[in-house]
Amino acid sequence: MHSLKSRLAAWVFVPILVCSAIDLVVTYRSTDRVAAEVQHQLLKGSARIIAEQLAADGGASPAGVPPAAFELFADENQDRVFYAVRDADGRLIDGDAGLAAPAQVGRGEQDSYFKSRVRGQAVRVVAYVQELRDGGRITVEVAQTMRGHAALRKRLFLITAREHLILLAMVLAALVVAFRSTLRPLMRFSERVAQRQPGSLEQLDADAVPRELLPVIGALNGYVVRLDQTLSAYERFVASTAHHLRTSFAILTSQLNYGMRDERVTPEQKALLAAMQNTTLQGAKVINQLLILASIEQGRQHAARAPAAPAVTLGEIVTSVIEELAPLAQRHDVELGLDASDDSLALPTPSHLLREIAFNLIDNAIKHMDGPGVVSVQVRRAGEFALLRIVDTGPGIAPAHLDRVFERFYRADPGKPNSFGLGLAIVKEICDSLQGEIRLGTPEQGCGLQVDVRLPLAGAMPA
Amino acid sequence: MAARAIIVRMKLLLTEDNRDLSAWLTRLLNQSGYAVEQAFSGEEADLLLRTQTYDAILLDLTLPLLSGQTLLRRLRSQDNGVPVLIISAQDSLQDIVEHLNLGADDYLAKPFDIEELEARLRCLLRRASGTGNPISRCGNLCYDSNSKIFCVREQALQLTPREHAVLETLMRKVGKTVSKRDLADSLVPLNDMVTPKALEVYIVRLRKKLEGSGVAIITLRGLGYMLSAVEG
Repeated sequence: MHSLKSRLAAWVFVPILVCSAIDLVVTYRSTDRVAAEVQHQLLKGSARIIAEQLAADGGASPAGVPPAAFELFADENQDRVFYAVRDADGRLIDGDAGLAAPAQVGRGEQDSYFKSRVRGQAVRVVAYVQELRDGGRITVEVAQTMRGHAALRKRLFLITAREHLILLAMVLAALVVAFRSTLRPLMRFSERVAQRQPGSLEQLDADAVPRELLPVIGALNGYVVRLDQTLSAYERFVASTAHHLRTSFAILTSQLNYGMRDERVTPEQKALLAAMQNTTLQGAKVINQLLILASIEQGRQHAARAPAAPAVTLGEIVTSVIEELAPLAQRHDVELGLDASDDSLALPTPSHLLREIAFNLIDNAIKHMDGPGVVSVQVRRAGEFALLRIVDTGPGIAPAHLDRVFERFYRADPGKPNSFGLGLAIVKEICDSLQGEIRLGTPEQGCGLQVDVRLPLAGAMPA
Repeated sequence: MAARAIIVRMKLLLTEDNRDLSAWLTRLLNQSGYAVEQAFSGEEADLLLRTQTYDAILLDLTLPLLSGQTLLRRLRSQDNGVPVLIISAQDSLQDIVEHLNLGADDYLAKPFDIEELEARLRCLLRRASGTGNPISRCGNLCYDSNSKIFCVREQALQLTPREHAVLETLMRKVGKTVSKRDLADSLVPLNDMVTPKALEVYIVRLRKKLEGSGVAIITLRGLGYMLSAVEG
């Protein structure tokens, strides 16, 4: 993973930083040279004054070194200045013995410079050779400590460095602006793609999008078209399979009906036919459940296209499911009731999916009750969600099974007849497709099972 | 088997493209005393409908040549009010709502039990005959709204006027809950202010009298009472 922003930043910023660094090194060197040159001029001026005075006095210096020679150096840096006068053979005539003699002495009126140390302090030295009238030669050395030099160099360097920093800041600001304006269409595009419903088969429109993104949009739209075709083919396949299977089951059912109505059938044969009919009905039920599973995914696609679902409240749906299951509850000796019902909860979701959720959960609760018990249903508002809660006093689900009960064809109790392990899988997948959630738990009284289904009131589809 | 006794032979048009299913359904319906004509395509059904009149039509939706929907639309646009019961293997609630809007009177998804089909058919025919069959049923319980008599297996049920009022209210909405309030209201004509407690007493007595009738008054906590056929 890499981001365009960081790449762009790296490609623009790093070269600028490198150039800047190189330039600073070069600048440092040149400021050093400039500062040294300034110092040279001072040293040379001072040495010349001394040399000329000595030359006028004929080599010796009864009056000593003229003060003017050192006034040149007066500044705020408090540098120390040393001097030495040597004869042609390098012997010290006057001045500071701590000052090293020049390695090499040039001809008259010449100056040479070198660095040295006087009593542990770094100094820059000028050696100025003065021809005397008598043909002799003296060398005047003047040395100054480096503080002034360093200060000047620093001042010069800081000026340049400040200019660099200003330049960098300007580049950075320009980059931020460029990112904002150049990458904004890209960001907006990716947000738009991210906000789409999962599985949405909508085409992306190519208006107000930079030219560079057009191939991407084209490819996405092409993909959506192909996906749509594939899904439609799949849908047709499922529909025709369902049609054939149901028709076959319908024939089988009417044949069994016919057989059972025949007066010559013995009670044993009748029982057998009834069992066969029961099996047929179970098979039909599985087909229906599998079809529902197949249609949930298709439902996601249709949800975006279909007009608003009829406004049936969740309470009405749950009530009709309870009525439908009442005879079953009666047979199982289960007391069924609706404890709380908020009749204002209308979800913009296809009502047959809501019905499927309620039916499977209440049906499960009744069938898994060992012996007499109570199943209580609640329909409530919980914040932005509609809450469907089903509490039973049955044996609950062992923790070992909790993770797997939502898997297709998983059965906690494989010995239980007429169960295929699809009910909870269907509920779970419908919840997921509606962006709701389902949670299994233990009710407050500590035994039984509590199932909470939360579905977003705003619906799973964009308004 | 009493339910199958039909005095006037009703004439049905069965429009189903699967010849096997059509044959078996015809046999079953003949057994029950209906006269059945079969059409195997929408075109065929259309032709028959131009010349014949039927008491009811059993209509499959996926028909060759002319779909069930088109046939239904054509029928209704010609102001033909014959009762139509759709029997279809396409099953989604969306479809059902759509077809009922198109003018179908009822809907049954394949596969279905013949008892269920015949019950729906009887209901449709009764509704269509206008006068209304005075007899309504739930399990083995019968109610004749003319004579105001409840019967269990041809045996008249002895009820007090209050029990009668409660059971009549429940009978009018078989398979649906009736709130305690509505039940209490049904007793108002008897000049009776009923407390919930008293209502429970009537329900308990009714349950006792309905024992073994294959009919139960089910309590649905929070909703009310519901009359329903149960096995046994």
